[in-house]
Amino acid sequence: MHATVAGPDLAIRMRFNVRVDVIRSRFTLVYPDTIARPLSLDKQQAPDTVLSRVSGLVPGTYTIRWQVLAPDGHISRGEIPFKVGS
Amino acid sequence: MAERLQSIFNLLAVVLRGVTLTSEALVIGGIAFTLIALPDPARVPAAWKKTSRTILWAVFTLGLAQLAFVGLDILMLMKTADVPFLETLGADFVMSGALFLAASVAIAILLFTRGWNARWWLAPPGAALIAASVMTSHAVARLYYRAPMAMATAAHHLSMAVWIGGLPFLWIALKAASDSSDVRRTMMNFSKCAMICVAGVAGSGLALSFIYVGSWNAVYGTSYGAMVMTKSVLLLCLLAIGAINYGIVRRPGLRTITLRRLLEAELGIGITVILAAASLTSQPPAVDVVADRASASEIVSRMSPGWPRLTSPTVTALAAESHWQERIKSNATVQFVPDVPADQVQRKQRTDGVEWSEYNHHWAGLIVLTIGILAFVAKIPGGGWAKHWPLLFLALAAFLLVRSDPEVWPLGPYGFWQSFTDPEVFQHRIAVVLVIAFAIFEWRVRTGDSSSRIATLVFPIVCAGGGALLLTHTHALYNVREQLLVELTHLPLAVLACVAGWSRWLELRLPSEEKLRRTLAWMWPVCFVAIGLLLLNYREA
Repeated sequence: MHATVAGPDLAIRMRFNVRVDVIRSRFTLVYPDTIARPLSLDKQQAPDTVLSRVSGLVPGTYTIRWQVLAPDGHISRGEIPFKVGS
Repeated sequence: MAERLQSIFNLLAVVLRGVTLTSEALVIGGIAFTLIALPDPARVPAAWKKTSRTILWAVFTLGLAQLAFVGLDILMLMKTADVPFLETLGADFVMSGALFLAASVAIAILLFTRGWNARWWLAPPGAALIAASVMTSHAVARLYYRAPMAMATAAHHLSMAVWIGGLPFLWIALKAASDSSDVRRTMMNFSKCAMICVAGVAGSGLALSFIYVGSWNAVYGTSYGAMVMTKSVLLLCLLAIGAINYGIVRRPGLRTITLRRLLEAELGIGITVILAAASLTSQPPAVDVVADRASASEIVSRMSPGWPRLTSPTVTALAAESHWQERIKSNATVQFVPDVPADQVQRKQRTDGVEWSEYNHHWAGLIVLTIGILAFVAKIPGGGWAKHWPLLFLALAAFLLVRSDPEVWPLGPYGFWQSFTDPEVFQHRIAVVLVIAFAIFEWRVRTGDSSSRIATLVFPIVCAGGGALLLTHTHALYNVREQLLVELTHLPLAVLACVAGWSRWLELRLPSEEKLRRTLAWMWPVCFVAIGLLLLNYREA
């Protein structure tokens, strides 16, 4: 949360404490100009992990909005704000 | 928008999960009872007729609840994550719903076409119902020990369903039987089965708690752990009633009416336990809540007796804190929780909002305490004037309507109907209606204006229903630790309301010669006094 990372390319790896149905989960990246773009999710390497990558990030403040579906039907969501350093 | 949809979805999901678990228990309990304890329909035809009809109703309710649950979950995915409809159909919860529906239809067809001869064929679709339920349990989402956890969950569901779900069918069989040897045989068969189920519930429950709760600190330091404890206390109440029943069956001179009345209370508390289980499935297991647990010292500090707060901050001060005016100007939806980061919530809650809420709880406690004392006085010679105590509930209802949610009508800027879009306000409104119903019916009963049996039962039904509602009641606080500290007060209130309701039910329904009736007549006023005292010591900071 609120970390500063190096750009312009970024590998995203989120690990949960339950299994995640990645086909029915969604990640969105909110850019510094507040435009939100969906992120494509990579094939799962572990049942609790979601992978994605994004490129061409300019310095500024971003937010990852995530929503995941667990096999028991629970939907969870959250936000991860971060900065891309110059 | 997504958060609002999510909070409405969470409340509906708990309700539908509660309906699913209750009807699942009734179907499986009915099938098991038919196989184990029901007398041959050639001897007692009325018992089989009512049993099969009750199973059919339960199957129908189960199917509807599952359709609604799956539809709701699909809608949530489509609205909040833009998942296409066809893509949602591959989700595990849809598979589970399909299995529920297929098994329900199979049971209905078998009962319609083959009747009593189908009883052994009902077992496989009954097992499919358990499997479908396990498919949406915490066990399947775990990373480790999935298979043993799924087996323990299945054993827990089966044991609970055969025991609690079998009770209404035992009630039916006892009512229909004319021969006392039939009654005794049916009771003994069910009792043996119920004892095995109690061991099954306790054993599987301990195994599940070992994994999902994991430590003593999590038992009292998380909402999940506190709810498990509440469920355990209610289970002890069930065991106490079961033990009384067992004693009656073993003694000479069978008291069938007494048995049936005790079964009614056992079933009511059993359904409350099932609703608590539904509430548990909506929460993350305690073992997963690591950062926001409450410590023992925090709990002791919050529960320590203090002087009640009998003066309130003004609405203006409260409005300034919650920034209502800014929200209205920006056309924001109704927002009842300060939308600040979690680490700031605790500091913010030490201000007027906390004082407002504590004032509400303390005055409500004072009213309930007075009601409890007056109920005592009305029972002693010369205390007849105190029989008007139910009218105090009207004062409580008016107080709740005005004060429970200051952002909405009549004190706040959000209108009467607009307020119903918030699940927490909606639950408070239901509570107000229940309290008014309680006051009017019970006052008419006490003053002799109403002698209808149904009117006398409104008190226990509303009281026990209110307790069950409190168990599924959610407090939308972003701070998990604060949420637990609030729930630690609400859960004992729920148990006391449940005990008060069912003790009054038995006082009214047990035969007049039963000694137990006299003890129960004093039990519910004690519960009211205890509820009043707990409310008077309620703290949010």
